[in-house]
Amino acid sequence: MREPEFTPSSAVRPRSFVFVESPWRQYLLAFLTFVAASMLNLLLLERWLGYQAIALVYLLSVVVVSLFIGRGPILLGTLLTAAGWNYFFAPPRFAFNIYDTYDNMMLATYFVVTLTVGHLTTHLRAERLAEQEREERASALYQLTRDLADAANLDDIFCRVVRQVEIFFEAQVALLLPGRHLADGLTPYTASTWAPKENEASVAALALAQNQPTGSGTETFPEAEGMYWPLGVGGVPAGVMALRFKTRVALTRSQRNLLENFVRQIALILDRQRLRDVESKHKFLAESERLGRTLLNSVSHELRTPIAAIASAASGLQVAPGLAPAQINLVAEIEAANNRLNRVVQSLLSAARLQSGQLRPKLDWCEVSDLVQVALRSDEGVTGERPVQVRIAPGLPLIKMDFVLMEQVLVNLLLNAVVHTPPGTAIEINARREGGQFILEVADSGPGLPPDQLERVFDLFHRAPNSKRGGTGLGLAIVKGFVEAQGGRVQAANRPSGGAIFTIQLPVADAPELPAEIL
Amino acid sequence: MSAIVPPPVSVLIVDDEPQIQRLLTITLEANGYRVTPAVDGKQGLATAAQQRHDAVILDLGLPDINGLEVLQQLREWTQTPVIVLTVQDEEADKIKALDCGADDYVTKPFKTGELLARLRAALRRANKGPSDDEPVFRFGDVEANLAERRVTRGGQPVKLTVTEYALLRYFILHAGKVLTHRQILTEVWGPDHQEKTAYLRVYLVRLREKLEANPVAPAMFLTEPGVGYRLAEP
Repeated sequence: MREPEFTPSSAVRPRSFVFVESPWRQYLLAFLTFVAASMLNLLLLERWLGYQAIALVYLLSVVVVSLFIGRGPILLGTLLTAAGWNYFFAPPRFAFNIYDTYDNMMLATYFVVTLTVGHLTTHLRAERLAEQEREERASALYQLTRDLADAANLDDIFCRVVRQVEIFFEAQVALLLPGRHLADGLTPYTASTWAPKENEASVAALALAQNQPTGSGTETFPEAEGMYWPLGVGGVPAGVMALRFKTRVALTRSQRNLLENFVRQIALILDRQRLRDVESKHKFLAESERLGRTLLNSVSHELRTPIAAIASAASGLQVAPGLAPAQINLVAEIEAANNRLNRVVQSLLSAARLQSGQLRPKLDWCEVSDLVQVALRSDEGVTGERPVQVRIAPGLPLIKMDFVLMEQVLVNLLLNAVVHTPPGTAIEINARREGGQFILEVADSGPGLPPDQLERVFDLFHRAPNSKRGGTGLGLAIVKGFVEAQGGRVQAANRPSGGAIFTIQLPVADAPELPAEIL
Repeated sequence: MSAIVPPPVSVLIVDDEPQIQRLLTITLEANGYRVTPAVDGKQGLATAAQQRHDAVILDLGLPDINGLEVLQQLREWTQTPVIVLTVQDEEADKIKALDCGADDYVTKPFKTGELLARLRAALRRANKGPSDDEPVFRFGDVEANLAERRVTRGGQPVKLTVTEYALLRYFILHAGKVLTHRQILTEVWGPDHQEKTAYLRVYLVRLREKLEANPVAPAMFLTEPGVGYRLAEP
């Protein structure tokens, strides 16, 4: 990373001409000028010049020195030189009396000229100063904007901001960001050169909340040590900039304007950075989702292909002519094992899809009786020889759900009942509407669920203690995931008459529009 | 004198998995088909263009070109029956394939018998010219005479509304073929009603009630979960 360029403080404030800043020194300079001019006149020039020309030398000295001093010292210089001329040179010498009208006019003109020149140079100097200050402000802002635009990241930005503000306002700077520093006792951002005291946290928080500067130099908590500026453009401020000025002098209006401009620039950059962060986060999420999908697809392909090959080969064998009965039975075992393997793989893939949030249910109008029939028949009859009683309330409307997911839900619940109840146990499927809810129940009259397990049966990989071997602990988790993905709920309970009951609730959508012919 | 032996039916198999390819070849050749293998989409398209095949078995998960793309390109110039091989969870692909003109689909893992039955049915439908259409469709005790627009069940006339009849007729004309929701809705209700699945569900209930021996366990109008319906062949 290249070193950021910083203009040293002295170069930022170029002195275009020498101006003695201390007022005391200005008066001293005026006095010394008077002494020097008097010596010159008394010891040297008096021999060759008349007393009136001496006045011009005094005038010249005052005009020259007025370039370097302010109005008051000029007045002092004028008074001293006028008095000196009057006392030492104008007749009568060594007295303050003047009788000559000509000399009186000379003295009056002398005052008018020196005071006018003094006024003009002071005015000119003020103009120059103001101009210089405007220039400084413009170049400061330019410098800041350029620095911020060059900055590579948030840390770099803060580093540059702190340095620039330090230079222009002779203040120590701390940057406070909400969520990161405002809450935890005002630890400032790393680049900061100052840490506001803990008790000023509320002042900083107020600046953030009211989106107005607070603290020293403002109307809110002026006794605070630091000045707190919210960093915001329009909307919610992104943070607070805290300043502690080295001299506790109130900011001038132009300094305040400059600071306001600084704050605006910083806020703009922060906003831009925030948008950029959000964008890259989105990109990252999309990318990782794509990766997950690719992985899932290739794993699913690798697992399913051999299963498909086994299924194809075994089913081909089974119809092959001339197999002995024992061989036919062996092939049937291969097929059964393969079906079981296929179900496990299918469950694992479904669970993976659920976990990775890649399940997108396709909700469409479905007919419940059709759904139940399809589920009962899938996998060549999941319920085997068990008696299944289906009760669908007459007049049940079409329900908006994902047919394929619901088929899997029903199959999993039926398989669960088959695994956990003795052979021959009856299974019931009930469907009805209760208010705005569609209720689908799968119930058995087996041993039921341990009461302390009712909440946990839907957990991924959860298996009831003492339950028979078989099953992966995935089936009910998938049921829950699939139902919830469709905006529904599922509950497990024990029936009063014995046996477990699983209840699915799905919202009933407004009845679909139907053609007039069948109404 | 030798009997005239009809040339064997030729099938193009486009599948990138060598094992599936081998198994299909063994099974199909054992059942009297002549098999041409292709290991990816490009080769499949090239082979299909070079020599005529009676049917194509196309895996949708190909490494180079998407199987759907292969199907679309095939359909630009040939009506050869295409059976696609898909996996579970990919109903959207099945629907797309059928809408793109596939004749049927088989979900992996499948049984050989199932694939052979689908292949035979697709070949039969393809070889049946328009003039061969039987005007009378029979299923159990149901008899539908499309020429006379008459439907009877156990000899008794069945009253159907105009839409019910249009739906039944569409099913009969494509007996044995999976029809997607979109295809049926477009054909019977018109292209503006493609999304109105509720219509279809309600009418299927009506048709089943009027024509199925046991409407609760339908044997005639079969549901293809997430995809559409199929009218069972008699």
